[in-house]
Amino acid sequence: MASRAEARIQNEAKLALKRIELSNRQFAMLLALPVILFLVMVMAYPMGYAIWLSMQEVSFFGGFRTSFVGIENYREALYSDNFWWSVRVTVQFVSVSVVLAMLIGLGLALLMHRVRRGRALLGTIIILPWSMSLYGAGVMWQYLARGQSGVASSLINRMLGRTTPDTAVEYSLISSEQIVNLLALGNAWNLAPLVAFFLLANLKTIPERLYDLARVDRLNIWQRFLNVTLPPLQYTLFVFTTITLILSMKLLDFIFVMSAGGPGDASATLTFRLFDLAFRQSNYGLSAAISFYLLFLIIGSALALFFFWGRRLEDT
Amino acid sequence: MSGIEITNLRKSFGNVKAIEEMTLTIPNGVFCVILGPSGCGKSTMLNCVAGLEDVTSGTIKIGGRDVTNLPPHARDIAMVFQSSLLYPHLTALQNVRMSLKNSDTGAVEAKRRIDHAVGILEIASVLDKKPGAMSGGQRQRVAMAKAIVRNPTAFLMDEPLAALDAALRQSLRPELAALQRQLGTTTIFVTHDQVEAMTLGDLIVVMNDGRVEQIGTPDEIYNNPATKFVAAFIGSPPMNFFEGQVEDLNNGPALRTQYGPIAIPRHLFDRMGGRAHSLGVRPQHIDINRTKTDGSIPGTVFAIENLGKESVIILHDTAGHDYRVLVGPDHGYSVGESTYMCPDLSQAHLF
Amino acid sequence: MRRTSLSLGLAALVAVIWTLLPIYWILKTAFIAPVDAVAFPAPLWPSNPHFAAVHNIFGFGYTDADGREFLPAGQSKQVINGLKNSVIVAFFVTIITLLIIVPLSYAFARFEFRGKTALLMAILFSVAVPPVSTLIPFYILFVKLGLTGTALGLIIINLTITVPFVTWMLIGYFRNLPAVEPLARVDGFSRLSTLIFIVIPMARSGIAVAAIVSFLFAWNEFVFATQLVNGTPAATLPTAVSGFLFLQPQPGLLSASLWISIIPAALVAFFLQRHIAEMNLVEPVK
Ligand SMILES: Nc1ncnc2c1ncn2[C@@H]1O[C@H](COP(=O)(O)OP(=O)(O)OP(=O)(O)O)[C@@H](O)[C@H]1O
Ligand SMILES: [Mg+2]
Repeated sequence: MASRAEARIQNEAKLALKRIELSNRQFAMLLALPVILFLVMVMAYPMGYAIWLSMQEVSFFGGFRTSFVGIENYREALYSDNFWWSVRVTVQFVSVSVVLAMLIGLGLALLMHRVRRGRALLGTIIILPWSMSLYGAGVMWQYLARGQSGVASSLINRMLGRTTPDTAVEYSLISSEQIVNLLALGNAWNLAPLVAFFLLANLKTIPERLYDLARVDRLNIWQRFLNVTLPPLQYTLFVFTTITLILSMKLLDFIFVMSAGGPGDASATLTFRLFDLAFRQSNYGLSAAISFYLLFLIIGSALALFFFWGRRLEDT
Repeated sequence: MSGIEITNLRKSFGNVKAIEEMTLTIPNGVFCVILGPSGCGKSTMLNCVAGLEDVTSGTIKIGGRDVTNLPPHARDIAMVFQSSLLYPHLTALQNVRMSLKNSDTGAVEAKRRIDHAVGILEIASVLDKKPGAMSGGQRQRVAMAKAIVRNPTAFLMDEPLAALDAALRQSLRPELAALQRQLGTTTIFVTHDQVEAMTLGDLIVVMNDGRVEQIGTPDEIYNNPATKFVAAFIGSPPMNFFEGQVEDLNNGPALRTQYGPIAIPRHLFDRMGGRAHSLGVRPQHIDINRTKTDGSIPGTVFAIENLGKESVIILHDTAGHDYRVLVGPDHGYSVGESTYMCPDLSQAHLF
Repeated sequence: MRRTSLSLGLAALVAVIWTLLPIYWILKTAFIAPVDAVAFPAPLWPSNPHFAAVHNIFGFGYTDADGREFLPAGQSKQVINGLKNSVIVAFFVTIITLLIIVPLSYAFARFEFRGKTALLMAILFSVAVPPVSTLIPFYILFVKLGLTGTALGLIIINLTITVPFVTWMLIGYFRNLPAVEPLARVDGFSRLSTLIFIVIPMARSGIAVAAIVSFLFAWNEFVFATQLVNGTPAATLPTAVSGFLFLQPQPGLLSASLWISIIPAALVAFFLQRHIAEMNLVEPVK
């Protein structure tokens, strides 16, 4: 009698168990499923459409009409000087951006790590550029760099005592030769805080003992930095080099606002070029084709970073 | 009434057999310690009892009730995890409350139990602290409080003291034993520390490689080790082993070693027969002399560890095997000396 | 000791100037009288603070001490409307992003399941796709669906950026949290209630960072907004501000509208810096 009641209880418990206790896999799929659908919707559709578009010639005579041209757009891009110029500009912009963002970010992180008093205030100030929109940053940097409103004209003329418009001379920081570097500097200004804060989180995990050890071993500041501080940061540095690289390659708003690809096409990165092709020249096909070259460039350089750097970190 | 009964428990992860076969009955109110080296399946076994892992086969009964297929919460157990895991974002009090949150304990009863546990474990002063701000000992007490407010049929503890320093561990051990005795709750306590096992356990289960090597009281485990593994694992300094072949010679049974035969008491030989090939003797049951006597084994003093009241002399034989001998403080030996070991055969074990 | 704290102070000063100069340089213009704002060379600071621009931008007239009158800015309606739209878009983007990514990144961090690597790769891939490449397809799709010029369209498109980026951030964070799941199971929580009642409260720092990052992204988004909602009632603040961009005679108004878009971001940044320092991503790479 008792055992039958017991068996029933057991049975019910088993059923209840079945109802609430999903397997890990089922539970994970339950959580991930909406996102998979979302991703398919928002990634697969536009990518598919872009692939289709990149093989069309779009004309606007008598409404929006397209005709299939195969890989013609891809070929046209490769034969165009503008395209190769934009590749060059992009590579320069991205490499300078990444180097500056990582160095400045590391510097800011070390600074915040050392500072004791006023840390919250310093942190708030340092993160400001990152909270700023890229178009806002573009406006600011343009305003700062231009001859008319810029800081260079203001300071130099003031030092030379020339304070009236007719005596003062314009000093613009914007020139065809330097515009890409200036853009990269502004971009690094925007990205460095992100790098700095994640590095700071990482720095906090380095045990103080290691610094004591370094003192016992009489390492100088530079040796201490190389042997104690830097090694545990490597993974974060790698991750953020990859992130700043990708973000810089994708960047449009900042360039759009600050230099609009100019002067001339001195700062026409690939993103600017394909925006211009699509929205100013309505050359959708070519723009879509170039966007795939850009995508390959992004993924290719991220993978290259992984193979030459990230993978080595995994081995150790 | 029985405490915990485990019958033919098996557990594999894919093709890794974590527990090959285990049958164990723990009487009600007994403090049972599961002892074994790292990776032998102790945690896996405990997780099966707790219901955190599904068993591959076998049954588990707690308080006479078959719980094999019940979720952890329905098993009427409380668990203390490795390093006394607590919710890091909750205060001590909130952590303790979590134990009762999903049970049908009324508010009044819950408060009574919590007050009681706080009193027993003396944690009133840390109730508002988060685990990050507590010492290791305080965390351990809070984890215990969290366990006892459940009023469970069984406590399951997975190396709760492992992360603490030696001094703290030593002071918490008797407290834990006293608490368990006071509550009289059947307890399974997992550890790889033999001192912890010997001092806490009413019953010790020695595990190795997913199998039970021996089940017994601390006395039985120490004085009558069932296997060579148990003999070597329990006791500090560890037991010495003389290897060779056991034979029944004309003048009685003996272990034939490269240094000549060592005579073996008849009762030992009768139990093991000719299958044995090593003779185990604890360090305190070996005498050393500077002169050779009948059946003694030569060894060179390799190192001497002074423990204050006594010393451990570590000897090497010609093949480089270690032997440890416990001697009084004024032994007079020095490193490099040649000596002879005389095992006390009445205290020896055959494996 | 003295020397190190001196050089530390100096370094802090350099960092602060580097950070604030570009912001300061334009924001000061909001407090300079419109005539002086276009003066050449530009003044280094507002020597006679003047509040015409900050009034005009909100649609109020202003009469200064000299009796000069300044009319409300023609774009003030757009700015205020943009502010409202930006709040709506940023709010919903933040909420929806969190609803999606918290369970997702938790599942990725804690469970092994088939297809996990492929999914992770898909998410990483979508982080790498430049928004300009998906702009045209989305534009065409949105025209067909009637979503151009709507806040809904903008919310959807913002999600395509925030979801992958923030998921990726949170996975590392969740992995570093202590594995309290068995504890929660013994305490009688199902997997779902463990997530809701234990893991989410435990992970609030990381989730706060995720929320702030999503909020900032949506608040600041410009490329999609100019194409999808510019000039419509759904225009957000950045597009409204861009209306001043090339109105050179009135940098004061541009500056004042930038103040509006920067203040919320700066407030949010204050909270961000408190939480973000706990986001250690480092983990043994698998
Ligand atoms: N989830 C799992 N998946 C696969 N194998 C596992 C899993 N959990 C444990 N194992 C394996 O089962 C065996 C026993 O592991 P278990 O954790 O029980 O050891 P343990 O005795 O508790 O060791 P320790 O003292 O290190 O905690 C090990 O070989 C381990 O690798
Ligand atoms: Mg274990």
